[in-house]
Amino acid sequence: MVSVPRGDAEATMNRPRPCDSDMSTVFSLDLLANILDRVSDPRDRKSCRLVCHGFLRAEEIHRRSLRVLRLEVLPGLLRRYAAGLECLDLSACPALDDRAFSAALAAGAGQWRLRSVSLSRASGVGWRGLAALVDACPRLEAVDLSHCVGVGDREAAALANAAGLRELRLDKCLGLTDVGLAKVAVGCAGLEKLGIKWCLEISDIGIDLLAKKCQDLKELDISYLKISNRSINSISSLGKLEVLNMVGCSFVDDEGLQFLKHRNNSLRVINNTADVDSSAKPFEWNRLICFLSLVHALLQSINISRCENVTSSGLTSVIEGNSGLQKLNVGDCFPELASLFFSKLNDLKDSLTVLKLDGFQVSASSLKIIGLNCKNLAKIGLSKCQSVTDEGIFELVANCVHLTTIDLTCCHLLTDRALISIGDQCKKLRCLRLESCNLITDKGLECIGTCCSSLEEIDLTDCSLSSTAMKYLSQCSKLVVLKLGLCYMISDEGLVLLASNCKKLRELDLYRCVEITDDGLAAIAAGCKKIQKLNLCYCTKITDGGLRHVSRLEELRDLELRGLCHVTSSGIAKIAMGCRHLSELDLKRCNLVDDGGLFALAQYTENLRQINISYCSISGTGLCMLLGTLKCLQDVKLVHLSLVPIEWFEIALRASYEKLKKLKLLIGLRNLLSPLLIEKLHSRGCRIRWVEKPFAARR
Amino acid sequence: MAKMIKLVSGDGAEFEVEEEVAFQSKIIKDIVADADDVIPLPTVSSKVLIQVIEYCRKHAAVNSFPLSPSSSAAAAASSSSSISYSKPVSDPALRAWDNEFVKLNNSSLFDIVIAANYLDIEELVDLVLETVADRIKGKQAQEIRRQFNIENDFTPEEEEALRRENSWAFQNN
Repeated sequence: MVSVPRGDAEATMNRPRPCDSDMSTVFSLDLLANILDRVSDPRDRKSCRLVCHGFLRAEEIHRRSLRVLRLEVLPGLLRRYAAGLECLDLSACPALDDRAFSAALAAGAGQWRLRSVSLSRASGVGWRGLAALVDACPRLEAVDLSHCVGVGDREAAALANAAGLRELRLDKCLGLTDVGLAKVAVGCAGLEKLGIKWCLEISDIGIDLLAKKCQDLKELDISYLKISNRSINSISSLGKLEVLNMVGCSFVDDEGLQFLKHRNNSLRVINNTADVDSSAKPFEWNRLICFLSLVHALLQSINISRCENVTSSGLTSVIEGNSGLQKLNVGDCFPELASLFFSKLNDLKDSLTVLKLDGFQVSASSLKIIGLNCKNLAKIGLSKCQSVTDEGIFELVANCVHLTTIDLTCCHLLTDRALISIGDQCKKLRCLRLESCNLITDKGLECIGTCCSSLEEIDLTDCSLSSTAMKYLSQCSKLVVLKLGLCYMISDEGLVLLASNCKKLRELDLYRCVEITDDGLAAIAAGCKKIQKLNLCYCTKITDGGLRHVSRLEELRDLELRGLCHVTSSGIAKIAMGCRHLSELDLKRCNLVDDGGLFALAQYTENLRQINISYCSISGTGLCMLLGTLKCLQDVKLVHLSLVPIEWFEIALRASYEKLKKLKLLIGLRNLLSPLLIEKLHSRGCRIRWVEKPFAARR
Repeated sequence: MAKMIKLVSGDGAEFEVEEEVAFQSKIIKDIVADADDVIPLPTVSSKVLIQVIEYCRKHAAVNSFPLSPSSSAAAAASSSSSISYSKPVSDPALRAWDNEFVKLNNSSLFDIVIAANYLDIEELVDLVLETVADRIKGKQAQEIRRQFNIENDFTPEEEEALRRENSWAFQNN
């Protein structure tokens, strides 16, 4: 790394002259790249790119991964970064098709060192583009094509030429059949991770060949496939398999699971849940559990949630055979868990850190046993465990003092006493979920606020809180996510308290906190500058003045303003100009917003990807402007735009069909829009939801 | 009696330093192994050489061994980064001294790092580059140019194209 300095001896004399300090000429590219390596903030890196050619070159040779949001800049960027780039994410690049993709790859021909490419949901890419990719990138190891519903056997054949492929995600690639899977299996024999979830055309034959050819497979997701026991037999020969996901494989039964018994002990995770409403023969889970316990001495994580037919004894066997278990998710199975199960948890006392029992009836004595047995528990899920009481929580936390996450959503019986117990014991608490715990009041938060200084996330939706609670919560200076939806009594005063100390807040949910006014927003905008996600739906006292404050939140990405009946285009324009990173915007039922608001959005919010303008007072012009101009727009909801004539819908959608991925329209439009347009939208992978909604306002 | 090495700067001045001080530079260490003890450094001026020697003297006193073993270990450990860092200075007193040492204007810092790079004194290179990186952080492009007296050599079209790229790429989530 030795470079010859270009400044001469004169330049190092005492009198510094301006041109001598120009490090872009004085430093070698290596040194500049070295400096850039130490500048970690992406915003700083972006600034560096703009400084001068020298800096730009250094940044170019240094960058390893890239995520592109717009088609126009793709070729230029790839030309620039081809030499060093290893990871390329094009999943959010709208309107990407084979032609554009191939052309962009050609820009860096011969130089590509790409290892991983994500084309998830890039529905415009087909076999031509994939063939170009495989051709151009000899080091390709990982490709993600999940949710590209048009991908089928021709695409698989193209991928099969990438002999070095290790990871392949083809989840929801509905066109894939055994033929395509066979090609991949033969061509990519070194495959380690494969996802073919929802590829309903795959049968036992395909799985059989896969298992024979790809013996290195470590992770396999065959959820929802219509495969039978034969497939499990084939899979049992995969000696290195660690993770097996077979959610909803309703044609597999006990006989099939027998095959798993005779495997090597490398299986780490089984995710084996059955369809809840499956009318097929009920899955005999107990036997599955027994086999699991015999086979998997190294199992680390089990998720058997939503298995209606699992009983306590089966679960108990799981624990018996797997003393290294770290994560156990048995939620939403059946109501009762015998106490034997809980006492068996003692076998896992050193290893178990995550336990999810969502939906169970868990008594206080059971929670006591959990507490005594699993002292290392870090995360506990008791969501919808409606019988949990204060006493139970007290018993639990008396011993589980290392808990960082406690989920008590819908535990209706809990009162402030439970929170006091938690505050007293769980000093490391980071995440607390109390949605719908209606008996919680301000007092409960007092203990939490004082004791849990590490608290980062708290969900208090539908709790009976007022601004006094904010006084306590504001002591948690590390708070990042705060959900106060349906807390009707929260007022501006509470927001002022919050803003005074919770400077790290990123997400704030004030859904239907109807007492909030513009002044509260002023405080938030001044104090919580890092907010990225803000929900102000139905806070009807908010006016354009409040939005002016919100526009000062420069990091804002996701803004929900449903039902704000006093907000006009003027307020929206201010948001557009101030929040340049805005990506998602919901203006449903903001009836005063008209074309002016849309013009402003079209002009300023270049990164807008998702918008809901249902029930707004916009005309055809505004709609066309919005849909035509915003290049990143992918998800639009256009229900009940009664001022927009049908021809304008047609024009607007034609202008944007290449980039749209999700569209919500009134069902009446289905017969009025041209069939050609609808077909074009579908061919680009756009999903259209036709809804039947009354026009009348909800309140 | 410590062995002395003679270093000759670009403007002809001679500096005698103890061997262990000079050996902070890997280049010097290699040269001394083959040849004699007088090492000409034509590209390094006296002013800069004095400062570099001062650094080496301070760090030789603290570290018993030269840096090569630790830096190669660091290089082996960091597989993803193309740049390898020497181990961070753990002694707080030394760190404080380092921080004072780099309180220089940009021009002097650049001279030092170029010399340190030439002489392969990895810790000094790291120190100065880290300082430079700190002076970049949090600044807009224009501010960076002003700070380091860099000329903007982009055309307006180029700059506009780069700004567009900045907003349409590189974002995480």
